[in-house]
Amino acid sequence: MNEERDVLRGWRLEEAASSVPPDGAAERGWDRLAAALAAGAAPRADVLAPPGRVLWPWVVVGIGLLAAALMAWVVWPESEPEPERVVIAAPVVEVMAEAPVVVPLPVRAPAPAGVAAPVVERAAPRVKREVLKPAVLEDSFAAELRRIAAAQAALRDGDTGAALRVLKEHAVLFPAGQFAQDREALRAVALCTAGRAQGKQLAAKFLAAHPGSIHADRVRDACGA
Amino acid sequence: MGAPETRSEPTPPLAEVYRAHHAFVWRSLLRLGLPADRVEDAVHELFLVVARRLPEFAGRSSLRTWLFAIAVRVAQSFRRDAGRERRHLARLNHEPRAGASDPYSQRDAAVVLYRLLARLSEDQRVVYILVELEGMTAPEIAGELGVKLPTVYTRLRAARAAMERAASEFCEEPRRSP
Repeated sequence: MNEERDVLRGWRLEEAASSVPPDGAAERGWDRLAAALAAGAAPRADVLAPPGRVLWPWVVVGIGLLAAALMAWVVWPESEPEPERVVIAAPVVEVMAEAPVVVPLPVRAPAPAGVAAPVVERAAPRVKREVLKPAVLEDSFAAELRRIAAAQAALRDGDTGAALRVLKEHAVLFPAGQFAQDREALRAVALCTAGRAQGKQLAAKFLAAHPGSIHADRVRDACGA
Repeated sequence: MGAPETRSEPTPPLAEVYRAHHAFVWRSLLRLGLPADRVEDAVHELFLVVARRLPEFAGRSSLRTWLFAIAVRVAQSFRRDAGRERRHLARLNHEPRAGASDPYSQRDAAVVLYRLLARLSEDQRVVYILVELEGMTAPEIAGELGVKLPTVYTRLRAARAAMERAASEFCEEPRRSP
Protein backbone atom coordinates (compact mmCIF):
# COMPACT_ATOMS: atom_id res chain seq x y z
CA MET A 1 0.00 0.00 0.00
CA ASN A 2 2.99 2.34 0.38
CA GLU A 3 3.28 2.62 -3.37
CA GLU A 4 -0.38 3.68 -3.68
CA ARG A 5 0.12 6.23 -0.90
CA ASP A 6 3.06 7.74 -2.77
CA VAL A 7 1.07 7.83 -6.01
CA LEU A 8 -1.85 9.50 -4.24
CA ARG A 9 0.46 12.02 -2.58
CA GLY A 10 1.88 12.90 -5.98
CA TRP A 11 -1.58 13.39 -7.47
CA ARG A 12 -2.61 15.53 -4.51
CA LEU A 13 0.41 17.78 -4.95
CA GLU A 14 -0.20 18.16 -8.68
CA GLU A 15 -3.89 18.79 -8.12
CA ALA A 16 -3.18 21.45 -5.50
CA ALA A 17 -0.99 23.29 -7.99
CA SER A 18 -3.50 23.11 -10.84
CA SER A 19 -6.89 23.66 -9.15
CA VAL A 20 -6.78 27.45 -9.08
CA PRO A 21 -9.40 29.84 -10.46
CA PRO A 22 -8.60 31.25 -13.92
CA ASP A 23 -7.22 34.79 -14.14
CA GLY A 24 -9.89 37.40 -13.51
CA ALA A 25 -12.41 34.91 -12.13
CA ALA A 26 -12.40 36.42 -8.65
CA GLU A 27 -12.97 39.98 -9.86
CA ARG A 28 -15.58 38.90 -12.41
CA GLY A 29 -17.35 36.88 -9.75
CA TRP A 30 -17.37 39.76 -7.29
CA ASP A 31 -18.88 42.14 -9.83
CA ARG A 32 -21.54 39.57 -10.63
CA LEU A 33 -22.25 38.92 -6.95
CA ALA A 34 -22.50 42.62 -6.11
CA ALA A 35 -24.89 43.18 -9.00
CA ALA A 36 -27.00 40.16 -8.04
CA LEU A 37 -27.24 41.21 -4.40
CA ALA A 38 -28.05 44.78 -5.36
CA ALA A 39 -30.86 43.41 -7.52
CA GLY A 40 -32.14 41.39 -4.57
CA ALA A 41 -31.20 37.97 -5.96
CA ALA A 42 -31.91 35.07 -3.64
CA PRO A 43 -29.95 31.84 -3.46
CA ARG A 44 -31.53 28.51 -4.33
CA ALA A 45 -33.92 27.37 -1.64
CA ASP A 46 -32.33 23.92 -1.40
CA VAL A 47 -28.93 25.32 -0.39
CA LEU A 48 -30.15 28.07 1.90
CA ALA A 49 -30.65 26.01 5.06
CA PRO A 50 -28.03 26.84 7.70
CA PRO A 51 -24.88 24.82 6.94
CA GLY A 52 -23.69 22.35 9.48
CA ARG A 53 -26.96 22.42 11.34
CA VAL A 54 -28.96 19.27 11.58
CA LEU A 55 -32.60 20.22 11.11
CA TRP A 56 -34.25 16.92 11.95
CA PRO A 57 -34.19 17.49 15.74
CA TRP A 58 -36.29 20.61 15.18
CA VAL A 59 -38.67 18.63 13.05
CA VAL A 60 -38.89 15.99 15.80
CA VAL A 61 -39.52 18.71 18.41
CA GLY A 62 -42.20 20.22 16.18
CA ILE A 63 -43.89 16.86 15.67
CA GLY A 64 -43.66 16.19 19.40
CA LEU A 65 -45.28 19.50 20.25
CA LEU A 66 -47.96 18.89 17.66
CA ALA A 67 -48.64 15.45 19.10
CA ALA A 68 -48.75 16.90 22.63
CA ALA A 69 -51.18 19.54 21.45
CA LEU A 70 -53.42 16.93 19.84
CA MET A 71 -53.33 14.78 22.98
CA ALA A 72 -54.19 17.78 25.13
CA TRP A 73 -57.04 18.66 22.78
CA VAL A 74 -58.40 15.12 23.06
CA VAL A 75 -57.96 14.82 26.83
CA TRP A 76 -58.74 18.33 28.07
CA PRO A 77 -62.26 19.74 28.27
CA GLU A 78 -63.33 22.06 25.46
CA SER A 79 -63.31 25.13 27.72
CA GLU A 80 -59.46 25.13 27.83
CA PRO A 81 -58.15 27.44 25.06
CA GLU A 82 -54.35 26.94 25.56
CA PRO A 83 -53.80 23.74 23.51
CA GLU A 84 -54.88 25.48 20.30
CA ARG A 85 -52.22 28.13 20.83
CA VAL A 86 -49.52 25.45 21.16
CA VAL A 87 -50.29 24.23 17.65
CA ILE A 88 -48.41 27.27 16.24
CA ALA A 89 -45.19 25.38 17.02
CA ALA A 90 -45.43 23.52 13.69
CA PRO A 91 -45.18 26.58 11.38
CA VAL A 92 -42.24 27.81 13.49
CA VAL A 93 -40.26 24.73 12.42
CA GLU A 94 -40.99 25.55 8.79
CA VAL A 95 -39.71 29.08 9.28
CA MET A 96 -36.43 27.84 10.73
CA ALA A 97 -35.84 25.55 7.78
CA GLU A 98 -36.62 28.02 5.01
CA ALA A 99 -36.38 31.66 6.09
CA PRO A 100 -33.17 33.52 5.24
CA VAL A 101 -32.94 35.10 8.67
CA VAL A 102 -33.61 32.87 11.64
CA VAL A 103 -35.42 34.81 14.29
CA PRO A 104 -35.61 32.91 17.55
CA LEU A 105 -39.08 32.59 18.95
CA PRO A 106 -39.22 34.30 22.35
CA VAL A 107 -39.67 31.74 25.08
CA ARG A 108 -42.02 32.73 27.84
CA ALA A 109 -43.20 31.09 31.00
CA PRO A 110 -46.73 29.66 30.72
CA ALA A 111 -49.32 32.14 31.89
CA PRO A 112 -51.97 31.26 34.43
CA ALA A 113 -55.24 30.04 32.95
CA GLY A 114 -57.49 32.80 31.75
CA VAL A 115 -54.80 35.49 31.22
CA ALA A 116 -53.03 33.93 28.21
CA ALA A 117 -54.40 36.41 25.65
CA PRO A 118 -53.27 39.64 27.40
CA VAL A 119 -49.76 38.21 27.91
CA VAL A 120 -49.42 37.44 24.19
CA GLU A 121 -50.55 40.96 23.31
CA ARG A 122 -48.01 42.55 25.63
CA ALA A 123 -45.25 40.39 24.12
CA ALA A 124 -45.84 41.63 20.56
CA PRO A 125 -43.61 44.76 20.67
CA ARG A 126 -40.65 42.69 21.94
CA VAL A 127 -40.95 40.26 19.02
CA LYS A 128 -40.96 43.19 16.62
CA ARG A 129 -37.76 44.59 18.05
CA GLU A 130 -35.93 41.26 17.63
CA VAL A 131 -37.07 41.00 14.03
CA LEU A 132 -36.02 44.53 13.20
CA LYS A 133 -32.40 44.12 14.22
CA PRO A 134 -31.21 41.86 11.33
CA ALA A 135 -33.50 43.67 8.90
CA VAL A 136 -31.73 46.96 9.62
CA LEU A 137 -28.37 45.29 9.06
CA GLU A 138 -29.54 43.88 5.74
CA ASP A 139 -30.81 47.28 4.67
CA SER A 140 -27.45 48.96 5.20
CA PHE A 141 -25.74 46.10 3.38
CA ALA A 142 -28.13 46.39 0.47
CA ALA A 143 -27.83 50.17 0.46
CA GLU A 144 -24.04 49.91 0.20
CA LEU A 145 -24.31 47.38 -2.58
CA ARG A 146 -26.72 49.49 -4.56
CA ARG A 147 -24.26 52.37 -4.59
CA ILE A 148 -21.25 50.23 -5.50
CA ALA A 149 -23.22 48.54 -8.28
CA ALA A 150 -24.42 51.95 -9.52
CA ALA A 151 -20.83 53.21 -9.60
CA GLN A 152 -19.75 50.10 -11.53
CA ALA A 153 -22.55 50.61 -14.03
CA ALA A 154 -21.69 54.30 -14.48
CA LEU A 155 -18.05 53.39 -15.09
CA ARG A 156 -19.09 50.78 -17.66
CA ASP A 157 -21.13 53.49 -19.40
CA GLY A 158 -18.13 55.84 -19.32
CA ASP A 159 -19.90 58.29 -17.01
CA THR A 160 -17.09 58.96 -14.55
CA GLY A 161 -18.86 61.98 -13.07
CA ALA A 162 -21.86 59.91 -12.04
CA ALA A 163 -19.60 57.16 -10.68
CA LEU A 164 -17.67 59.65 -8.54
CA ARG A 165 -20.88 61.19 -7.22
CA VAL A 166 -22.23 57.82 -6.09
CA LEU A 167 -18.89 56.84 -4.58
CA LYS A 168 -18.74 60.11 -2.64
CA GLU A 169 -22.23 59.41 -1.35
CA HIS A 170 -21.07 55.94 -0.26
CA ALA A 171 -18.04 57.45 1.50
CA VAL A 172 -20.24 59.87 3.43
CA LEU A 173 -22.85 57.30 4.42
CA PHE A 174 -20.54 54.32 4.99
CA PRO A 175 -17.00 55.61 5.68
CA ALA A 176 -15.91 52.22 7.06
CA GLY A 177 -18.49 50.14 5.18
CA GLN A 178 -18.15 46.59 3.95
CA PHE A 179 -17.30 47.85 0.49
CA ALA A 180 -14.85 50.57 1.48
CA GLN A 181 -12.02 48.84 -0.37
CA ASP A 182 -14.12 48.48 -3.51
CA ARG A 183 -15.07 52.13 -3.26
CA GLU A 184 -11.44 53.30 -3.09
CA ALA A 185 -10.49 51.10 -6.06
CA LEU A 186 -13.42 52.37 -8.14
CA ARG A 187 -12.64 55.96 -7.17
CA ALA A 188 -9.07 55.60 -8.39
CA VAL A 189 -10.29 53.98 -11.62
CA ALA A 190 -12.89 56.72 -12.19
CA LEU A 191 -10.43 59.56 -11.57
CA CYS A 192 -7.76 57.99 -13.81
CA THR A 193 -10.34 57.35 -16.54
CA ALA A 194 -11.38 61.00 -16.29
CA GLY A 195 -7.73 61.97 -16.71
CA ARG A 196 -7.42 63.62 -13.30
CA ALA A 197 -4.00 63.64 -11.63
CA GLN A 198 -5.48 62.75 -8.26
CA GLY A 199 -6.30 59.32 -9.68
CA LYS A 200 -2.67 58.23 -9.87
CA GLN A 201 -2.06 59.30 -6.28
CA LEU A 202 -5.10 57.38 -5.11
CA ALA A 203 -4.08 54.34 -7.16
CA ALA A 204 -0.59 54.33 -5.63
CA LYS A 205 -2.09 54.63 -2.16
CA PHE A 206 -4.60 51.87 -2.86
CA LEU A 207 -2.03 49.47 -4.31
CA ALA A 208 0.33 50.09 -1.39
CA ALA A 209 -2.44 49.36 1.10
CA HIS A 210 -3.98 46.42 -0.80
CA PRO A 211 -1.38 44.84 -3.08
CA GLY A 212 -3.29 41.55 -3.24
CA SER A 213 -6.72 43.08 -3.82
CA ILE A 214 -8.91 41.56 -6.50
CA HIS A 215 -9.16 45.12 -7.88
CA ALA A 216 -5.38 45.62 -8.08
CA ASP A 217 -5.09 44.68 -11.77
CA ARG A 218 -8.01 46.89 -12.72
CA VAL A 219 -6.53 49.86 -10.85
CA ARG A 220 -3.13 49.25 -12.48
CA ASP A 221 -4.72 49.02 -15.94
CA ALA A 222 -6.70 52.23 -15.50
CA CYS A 223 -3.98 54.28 -13.86
CA GLY A 224 -0.84 52.79 -15.38
CA ALA A 225 0.52 52.34 -11.87
CA MET B 1 -7.35 30.01 9.41
CA GLY B 2 -6.08 27.01 11.27
CA ALA B 3 -7.57 27.62 14.68
CA PRO B 4 -11.33 27.72 15.07
CA GLU B 5 -12.77 31.15 15.62
CA THR B 6 -14.49 31.89 18.88
CA ARG B 7 -17.90 33.42 19.38
CA SER B 8 -16.32 36.64 20.68
CA GLU B 9 -14.70 37.42 17.31
CA PRO B 10 -16.71 39.74 15.08
CA THR B 11 -18.10 38.29 11.87
CA PRO B 12 -15.91 39.38 8.94
CA PRO B 13 -17.63 41.38 6.20
CA LEU B 14 -18.70 39.59 3.04
CA ALA B 15 -16.09 41.31 0.88
CA GLU B 16 -13.31 40.12 3.17
CA VAL B 17 -14.63 36.57 3.21
CA TYR B 18 -14.89 36.62 -0.58
CA ARG B 19 -11.33 37.86 -1.07
CA ALA B 20 -9.82 35.45 1.43
CA HIS B 21 -11.72 32.32 0.42
CA HIS B 22 -12.65 32.59 -3.25
CA ALA B 23 -9.84 30.24 -4.34
CA PHE B 24 -10.68 27.81 -1.54
CA VAL B 25 -14.34 27.47 -2.47
CA TRP B 26 -13.39 27.23 -6.15
CA ARG B 27 -11.14 24.22 -5.65
CA SER B 28 -13.52 22.70 -3.08
CA LEU B 29 -16.35 22.67 -5.62
CA LEU B 30 -14.07 21.02 -8.17
CA ARG B 31 -13.12 18.38 -5.63
CA LEU B 32 -16.77 17.81 -4.77
CA GLY B 33 -17.29 16.69 -8.32
CA LEU B 34 -18.54 19.72 -10.23
CA PRO B 35 -17.32 20.01 -13.82
CA ALA B 36 -15.01 22.98 -14.29
CA ASP B 37 -17.46 24.78 -16.57
CA ARG B 38 -20.06 24.89 -13.77
CA VAL B 39 -17.77 26.01 -10.98
CA GLU B 40 -18.06 29.74 -11.63
CA ASP B 41 -21.86 29.57 -11.35
CA ALA B 42 -21.60 27.40 -8.25
CA VAL B 43 -19.20 29.85 -6.58
CA HIS B 44 -21.68 32.64 -7.30
CA GLU B 45 -24.50 30.62 -5.77
CA LEU B 46 -22.37 29.80 -2.74
CA PHE B 47 -21.60 33.44 -2.00
CA LEU B 48 -25.27 34.37 -2.38
CA VAL B 49 -25.88 31.96 0.50
CA VAL B 50 -22.92 33.37 2.43
CA ALA B 51 -24.31 36.90 2.01
CA ARG B 52 -27.54 35.77 3.66
CA ARG B 53 -26.04 33.54 6.32
CA LEU B 54 -22.86 35.34 7.34
CA PRO B 55 -24.48 37.25 10.24
CA GLU B 56 -25.49 33.85 11.64
CA PHE B 57 -22.00 32.35 11.45
CA ALA B 58 -21.69 30.98 14.95
CA GLY B 59 -17.94 30.51 15.13
CA ARG B 60 -18.36 26.92 16.25
CA SER B 61 -15.58 25.99 13.86
CA SER B 62 -13.37 27.72 11.33
CA LEU B 63 -14.91 29.89 8.65
CA ARG B 64 -13.42 27.55 6.04
CA THR B 65 -15.28 24.49 7.32
CA TRP B 66 -18.47 26.55 7.45
CA LEU B 67 -17.94 27.59 3.83
CA PHE B 68 -17.14 24.02 2.89
CA ALA B 69 -20.43 22.85 4.42
CA ILE B 70 -22.23 25.33 2.14
CA ALA B 71 -20.12 24.12 -0.81
CA VAL B 72 -21.33 20.57 -0.17
CA ARG B 73 -24.96 21.73 -0.41
CA VAL B 74 -24.30 23.78 -3.53
CA ALA B 75 -22.49 20.87 -5.19
CA GLN B 76 -25.39 18.54 -4.36
CA SER B 77 -27.85 21.02 -5.84
CA PHE B 78 -25.84 21.42 -9.04
CA ARG B 79 -25.41 17.66 -9.37
CA ARG B 80 -29.18 17.26 -9.08
CA ASP B 81 -29.55 19.80 -11.90
CA ALA B 82 -27.00 17.92 -14.01
CA GLY B 83 -28.85 14.67 -13.37
CA ARG B 84 -32.13 16.20 -14.50
CA GLU B 85 -30.41 17.60 -17.60
CA ARG B 86 -28.87 14.23 -18.44
CA ARG B 87 -32.22 12.48 -18.09
CA HIS B 88 -33.84 15.12 -20.25
CA LEU B 89 -31.17 14.79 -22.95
CA ALA B 90 -31.33 11.00 -22.74
CA ARG B 91 -35.05 11.19 -23.49
CA LEU B 92 -34.16 13.21 -26.58
CA ASN B 93 -31.30 10.82 -27.48
CA HIS B 94 -28.71 13.56 -27.05
CA GLU B 95 -26.59 12.15 -24.25
CA PRO B 96 -23.52 14.42 -24.02
CA ARG B 97 -20.07 12.87 -23.78
CA ALA B 98 -18.94 13.22 -20.17
CA GLY B 99 -16.27 15.84 -19.67
CA ALA B 100 -16.14 16.72 -23.35
CA SER B 101 -15.96 20.44 -22.66
CA ASP B 102 -14.00 20.19 -19.44
CA PRO B 103 -11.05 22.58 -19.70
CA TYR B 104 -9.35 20.63 -16.93
CA SER B 105 -9.22 17.41 -18.96
CA GLN B 106 -5.56 18.04 -19.75
CA ARG B 107 -4.64 18.13 -16.10
CA ASP B 108 -4.27 14.43 -15.66
CA ALA B 109 -3.44 14.25 -11.97
CA ALA B 110 -6.35 16.48 -10.97
CA VAL B 111 -8.77 14.64 -13.25
CA VAL B 112 -7.70 11.26 -11.91
CA LEU B 113 -7.97 12.47 -8.33
CA TYR B 114 -11.48 13.86 -8.91
CA ARG B 115 -12.50 10.59 -10.55
CA LEU B 116 -11.32 8.64 -7.53
CA LEU B 117 -12.97 11.09 -5.12
CA ALA B 118 -16.23 10.62 -7.01
CA ARG B 119 -16.14 6.93 -6.06
CA LEU B 120 -16.26 7.71 -2.34
CA SER B 121 -19.48 8.18 -0.43
CA GLU B 122 -20.40 11.82 0.22
CA ASP B 123 -19.48 11.56 3.92
CA GLN B 124 -16.10 10.01 3.21
CA ARG B 125 -15.33 12.44 0.38
CA VAL B 126 -16.00 15.46 2.59
CA VAL B 127 -13.68 14.24 5.35
CA TYR B 128 -10.96 13.17 2.91
CA ILE B 129 -10.94 16.53 1.13
CA LEU B 130 -10.83 18.55 4.34
CA VAL B 131 -8.11 16.47 6.01
CA GLU B 132 -5.94 15.23 3.15
CA LEU B 133 -6.29 18.09 0.70
CA GLU B 134 -6.92 21.06 2.97
CA GLY B 135 -4.94 19.97 6.02
CA MET B 136 -7.74 20.59 8.51
CA THR B 137 -7.96 18.78 11.81
CA ALA B 138 -10.56 16.21 12.77
CA PRO B 139 -11.92 18.24 15.74
CA GLU B 140 -12.33 21.27 13.48
CA ILE B 141 -14.34 19.19 11.01
CA ALA B 142 -16.43 17.44 13.67
CA GLY B 143 -17.46 20.83 15.09
CA GLU B 144 -18.93 22.13 11.88
CA LEU B 145 -20.33 18.90 10.44
CA GLY B 146 -22.08 18.16 13.71
CA VAL B 147 -20.69 14.64 13.98
CA LYS B 148 -18.71 13.00 16.77
CA LEU B 149 -14.93 12.96 16.60
CA PRO B 150 -14.65 9.14 16.36
CA THR B 151 -17.05 9.28 13.39
CA VAL B 152 -14.70 11.66 11.58
CA TYR B 153 -11.77 9.31 12.19
CA THR B 154 -13.79 6.29 11.05
CA ARG B 155 -14.81 8.04 7.84
CA LEU B 156 -11.24 9.19 7.26
CA ARG B 157 -9.84 5.67 7.68
CA ALA B 158 -12.44 4.26 5.31
CA ALA B 159 -11.83 7.04 2.78
CA ARG B 160 -8.06 6.56 2.85
CA ALA B 161 -8.41 2.82 2.35
CA ALA B 162 -10.89 3.30 -0.50
CA MET B 163 -8.66 5.88 -2.19
CA GLU B 164 -5.63 3.59 -1.93
CA ARG B 165 -7.63 0.70 -3.38
CA ALA B 166 -8.88 2.93 -6.18
CA ALA B 167 -5.36 4.21 -6.87
CA SER B 168 -4.09 0.64 -7.01
CA GLU B 169 -6.83 -0.38 -9.46
CA PHE B 170 -6.19 2.71 -11.54
CA CYS B 171 -2.44 2.02 -11.76
CA GLU B 172 -3.14 -1.56 -12.85
CA GLU B 173 -5.36 -0.45 -15.70
CA PRO B 174 -3.59 -0.28 -19.06
CA ARG B 175 -2.50 3.28 -19.83
CA ARG B 176 -5.07 4.99 -21.98
CA SER B 177 -4.19 7.63 -24.46
CA PRO B 178 -5.31 11.13 -23.28
